[in-house]
Amino acid sequence: MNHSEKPIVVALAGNPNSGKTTIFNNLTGANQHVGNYPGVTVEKKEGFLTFRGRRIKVIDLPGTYSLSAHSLDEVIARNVIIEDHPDVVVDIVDASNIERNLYLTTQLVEPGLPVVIALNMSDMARDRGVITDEKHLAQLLGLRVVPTVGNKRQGIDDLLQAVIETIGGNGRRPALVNYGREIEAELAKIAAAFGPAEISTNGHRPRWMALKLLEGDTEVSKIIESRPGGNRALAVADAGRKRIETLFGDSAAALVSDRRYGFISGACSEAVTLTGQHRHALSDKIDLALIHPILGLPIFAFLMWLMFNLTFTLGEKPMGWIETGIGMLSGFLASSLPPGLPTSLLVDGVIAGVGGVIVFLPNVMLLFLAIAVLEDTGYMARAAFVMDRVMHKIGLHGKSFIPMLIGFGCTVPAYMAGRIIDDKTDRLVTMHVTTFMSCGARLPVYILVCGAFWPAHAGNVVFSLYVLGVLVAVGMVKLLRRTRFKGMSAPFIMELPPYRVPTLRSLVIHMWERSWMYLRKAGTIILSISIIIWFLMTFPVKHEFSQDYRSMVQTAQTAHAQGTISAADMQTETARYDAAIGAERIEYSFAGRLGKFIEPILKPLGFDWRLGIALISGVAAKEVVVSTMGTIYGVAESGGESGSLRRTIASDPKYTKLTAYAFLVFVLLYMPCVASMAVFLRETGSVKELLFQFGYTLGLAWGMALIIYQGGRLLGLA
Amino acid sequence: MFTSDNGKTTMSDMPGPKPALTLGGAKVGKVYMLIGFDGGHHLREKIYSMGLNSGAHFRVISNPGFGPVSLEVRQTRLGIGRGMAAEIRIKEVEP
Repeated sequence: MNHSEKPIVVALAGNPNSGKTTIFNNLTGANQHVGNYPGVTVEKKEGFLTFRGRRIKVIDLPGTYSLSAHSLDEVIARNVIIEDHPDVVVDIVDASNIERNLYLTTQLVEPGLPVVIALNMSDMARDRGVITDEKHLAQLLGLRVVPTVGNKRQGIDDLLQAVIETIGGNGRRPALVNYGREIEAELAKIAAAFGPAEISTNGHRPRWMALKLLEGDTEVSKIIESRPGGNRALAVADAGRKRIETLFGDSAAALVSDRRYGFISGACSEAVTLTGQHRHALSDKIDLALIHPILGLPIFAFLMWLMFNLTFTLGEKPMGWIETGIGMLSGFLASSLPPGLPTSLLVDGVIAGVGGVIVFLPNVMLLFLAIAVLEDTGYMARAAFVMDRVMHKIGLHGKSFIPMLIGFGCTVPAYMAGRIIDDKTDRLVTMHVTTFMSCGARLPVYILVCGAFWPAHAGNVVFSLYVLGVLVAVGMVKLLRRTRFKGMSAPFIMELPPYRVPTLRSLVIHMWERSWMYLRKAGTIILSISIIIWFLMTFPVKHEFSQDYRSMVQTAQTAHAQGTISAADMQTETARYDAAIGAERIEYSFAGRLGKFIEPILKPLGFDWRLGIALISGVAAKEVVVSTMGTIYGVAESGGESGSLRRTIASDPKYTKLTAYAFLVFVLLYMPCVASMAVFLRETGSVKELLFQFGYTLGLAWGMALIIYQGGRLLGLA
Repeated sequence: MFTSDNGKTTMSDMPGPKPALTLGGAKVGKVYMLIGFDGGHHLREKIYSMGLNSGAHFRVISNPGFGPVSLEVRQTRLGIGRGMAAEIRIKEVEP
């Protein structure tokens, strides 16, 4: 086989829930990769395969109901079709829901690319009493129609064969919808106005472009406008649209949709037989409970609780293994490499930073697995349906709860989950408040501080922070909706697909591709930031100390050698001096100076420069606050036992319970960690939004901490 | 019950009094036909493309009077938010 030969490019189009992803997985197997369409958050999946010596590249388009370009998914699907010129478009049609699925088909054939129909899940459709005469349907539509059963891998070879034959082009002409005398006349006029080659090139039928203009499609209008003579065509289209509206009392776009359905019902009345209506009987029964107006919410709450519990309990063990592994690696490197800055960079910078990301991998993978189960079974749509009532009152979309919920685990995947929200404004508002859900990395800080100041009620205080986060999120949604993001959340409309038993294969593929993105995104960014933080906390290096710790260490060692102190005492002494050296070094470093520099800003909150450094370092990852405090207070942390650090900060006379709570609230609310911010930027593609989030969370944290600290002092809480 | 159908489906904002029945007031288990949509043109294309076009018959699955309505059209189930349901004009179809 000649590999330099250009592969055949096949684009997979189809409705959501038509089984498109299963067909894609069957076609390409593990030989696929996921990226993002440039500048947007929609996943771009591509894969390769070889069929009868031909190399085929498959592009999985986002699932859409239409090609009208009103949503991001539709714009992307359409851009691939009209700009990338795939050799063949394979349209996955759910056989049990054929009429609605063919609505997209009527639009796919219009630009003029060859289309092959995969009539998917035809076995299930037959069971439900929908019997399609494929040959007759193929004749009526003028397209090749191949029955497939995606989850049983049936019909895949036939489909590929049909793709190859279609490229060979043996004389099928797709049937186009006839839009009626008046509209067709307008289309002819607009197409004529395109004039010669300049506009009608690009391989698309002028009629399709004309139709888009008549429908008032903004994207195509822009393309036409930029071409020579384009304005004339636009003027003709405008006039035509007005004529149609006066004539029919309805918009051209509405008439066009009606005619499409008219064409479809004509074809289906001939080629599809309905033998009784056994719909998804089991699915309907399940729905009786799951979308029940009263039972729906508690069931949802239970399932979410289950998902969280499983994620965190099952994740605990592997997390421990990874932690131990990283600890062993850094211990080994620290002891086998010569001490000095390069080793410190490797151990304290690179391994500590990247390790901090990898540690969360088990949780992230389990969470994504759970989400894949919810999506593939069809429950996700019901959850959004049930939650819409609550979320809509707050000013969010039914789907917004998903990223917010995931936010309790980790903000990074939570931001990524924001993708499920179609409306851009809804998505942004959701992402702006998701950060207030206490993520797993904030928990170590809560545990440390609450354990130090409220040893008897630590659990309640921690819980209060979780609740406070949710309340702040709700309040901020209301505020944002009244200010920066005015207006209502997008109207809720969603398909509730029949419940299905997911295949293990697709669950694993879904989980893995998202986890890999987490690793790659968080990994690259956090690596560089870890190095920066390490630099700030290491330089300038201090050589002169307030006390001669080195000779003190030597004294202790000599004393041990002479037998005056025990080995354990000697080690304690040595550790104490090492810790004191560390504390002085950090105070002298850029980070320490920065902490002192910002101290005046933090003073009204009751924080000193040491807490300032801890907060700065927490930007790398929130749990780093704990280890930084360990370093600043010169408490040698060994084996993750934070008892000594807890005692040290609890006994510091500068800190009261009020300071402690203000500090915790600050940690809860201030900007998300660097990994999250990097993902936020990728997902929104907007530096402006990132800066907004950065600024307003920081301001909010400061303000809330101020109110708590100063308010508490006024009330005499101290 | 609103039953006066003028025989032609109109989708644009029609002058005159609005028909009384919208999806928001539909009864569970009954079959209705979509006769008009008062929302914006993007949303109309959305519900059309999801199988709920003018003239489409559908059966109401749940409508508790608060929160979204669920219905069955062309062998699929759709969930439609309360606000949008109020913009979908319908009439009952005799069984």
